[in-house]
Amino acid sequence: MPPKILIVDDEAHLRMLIQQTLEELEDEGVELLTASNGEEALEVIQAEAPKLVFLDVMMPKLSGFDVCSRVKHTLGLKDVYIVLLTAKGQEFDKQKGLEAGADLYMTKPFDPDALLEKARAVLGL
Amino acid sequence: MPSVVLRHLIRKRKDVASVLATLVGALGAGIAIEDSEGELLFGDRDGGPGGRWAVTLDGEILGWVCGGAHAAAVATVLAHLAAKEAERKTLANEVLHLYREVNLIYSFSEKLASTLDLDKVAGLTLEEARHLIAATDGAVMLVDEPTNRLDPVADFGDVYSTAHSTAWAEGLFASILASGQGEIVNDVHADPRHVHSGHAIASLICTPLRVKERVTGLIALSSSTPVSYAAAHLKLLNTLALQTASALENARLFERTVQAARDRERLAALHKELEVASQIQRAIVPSQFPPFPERSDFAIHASMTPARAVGGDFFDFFLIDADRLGFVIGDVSGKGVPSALFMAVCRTLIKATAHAGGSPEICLERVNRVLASEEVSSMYVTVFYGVLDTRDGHVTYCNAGHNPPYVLRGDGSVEPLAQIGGMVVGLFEDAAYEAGHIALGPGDALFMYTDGVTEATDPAGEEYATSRLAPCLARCRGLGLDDVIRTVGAEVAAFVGEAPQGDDITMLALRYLA
Repeated sequence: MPPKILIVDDEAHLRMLIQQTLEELEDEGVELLTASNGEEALEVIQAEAPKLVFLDVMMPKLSGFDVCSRVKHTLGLKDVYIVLLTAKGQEFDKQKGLEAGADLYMTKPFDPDALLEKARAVLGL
Repeated sequence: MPSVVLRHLIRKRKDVASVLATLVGALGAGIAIEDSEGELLFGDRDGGPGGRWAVTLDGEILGWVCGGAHAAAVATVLAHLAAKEAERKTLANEVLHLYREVNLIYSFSEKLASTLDLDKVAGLTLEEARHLIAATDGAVMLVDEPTNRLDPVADFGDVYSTAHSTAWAEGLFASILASGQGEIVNDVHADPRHVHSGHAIASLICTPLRVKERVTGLIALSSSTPVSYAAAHLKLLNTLALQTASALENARLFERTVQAARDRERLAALHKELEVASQIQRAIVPSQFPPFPERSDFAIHASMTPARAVGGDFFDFFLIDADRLGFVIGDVSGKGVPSALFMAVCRTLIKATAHAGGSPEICLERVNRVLASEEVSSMYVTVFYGVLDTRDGHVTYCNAGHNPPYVLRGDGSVEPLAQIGGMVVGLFEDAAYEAGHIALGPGDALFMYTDGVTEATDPAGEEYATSRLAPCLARCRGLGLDDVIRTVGAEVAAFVGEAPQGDDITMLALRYLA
């Protein structure tokens, strides 16, 4: 099965940017999936079992923290590598991220090269 | 145009897949879609006989649609969708490119904000520039205002070192500084403005650093072999320059402020030293009065007020033996620490020589020989040195260029002492000195002073002068020596008023009591 990456953000332009950043991985067999809210993210994660999830923290209804916590704790999918995306300048509650079980957090605006490098490292490419 | 892979388009784009399924369902025809390699992407090949229609994008064949007559329409729709996908990708790429730039500015300004160190700011800028633009050499150079030189604050490679900075003030860089416009010069040697100084610059990209309307320096990147720098590079370099120019200026101002603060600290330390020197000076002149409470055959009193923290005046008195009292007053040329040091040396020398027991003129001759032979930066000292014979009131004295003391007689008369002695001490090794003599009767006194008293100036610029001092002394008839000195001091202070004190004011008074 090809490795999958899920991009979760309620802002369409950010989904597109991350998708475009990771596009070259498609040529190496990686499948890129997107979700525009927390509920959809949970569905995709259960259905597609992505190895890596880029997850925006600030989303309406279900926040990134909530999604992360459900994936790691409720669903027990501890192997899913979750990168929380948080806006720069906003106070990020590291403790909350840690409790939710996030593996890493990155700030937006993100450095495209760093994002791609992280994805490669997690997928072992 | 970015390449579009038909397989990705059909399999990964859910919207495309659903359009296709709907379309094929509606047409009700067996259709197969293959990629350019012939791999089956959609439908099956058993749909029956039919034609093969190419799906093209900008003349490039992405794949084929096989089937009946409807297959042609599907191929057209797919080609349209592929074109749309290509368009979307172009747009996304452009946005990503802009996003990279935003991120660059964002993280760069964040880094810049974290430092106020000029070298660090310049170093960060150059590092970032080098990361974005290929170059063998590069520098951030600032215009040194007084000399108009371009000084590299940070550099890499061999070309931009301080040794050549004067050369940078001419030619290409001068032109860029003057115009305030960034430039790409891909063939430096062909540029008429280039000064052939033997530096290995084949191609250059350079942009000025501006703070408001002022050009403060420039960022230059160059390659020793010809390369083609593009407009996009210059745009990036301009962005960096815009960010860093103010940061560099702030760092420069900060450095100057820190320097000024350091100078102030140094000045304060110097001031403290002067204060300590002043304390030492005060400590080495006698300050206990009466100094010889057991002696009733003479009285002595003195005061010294330095103009600066440390002055060049001094006085001293000491018993040479039971019947002879030595007393001395002097004024070293100049002011401040050097004259205070010279004063300390003089005082010690005179005291040491006096204790050998010689007459005043012999004593000053010896002191002069020692000081003049040392040639201490042409400093000299005026000295009045006297010896009182306490048995009969006879005074032997030698006046080496000092203001003549006054003799205050018990009957109230005031007269200057005859000017007998010689040259100031410390200038001419062979100067000769002679002794003067005066007899003091019981109650007669000598009043000695330095020129700080008579040259004290009032706000209008007029000097106190002996014409005021002598009458003042006359009015002091019947007063104790401490009151004489206090009276003169108060009158001088009142005369000077708000004007600053120009010189040390020192007074020494001796009375023979028998």
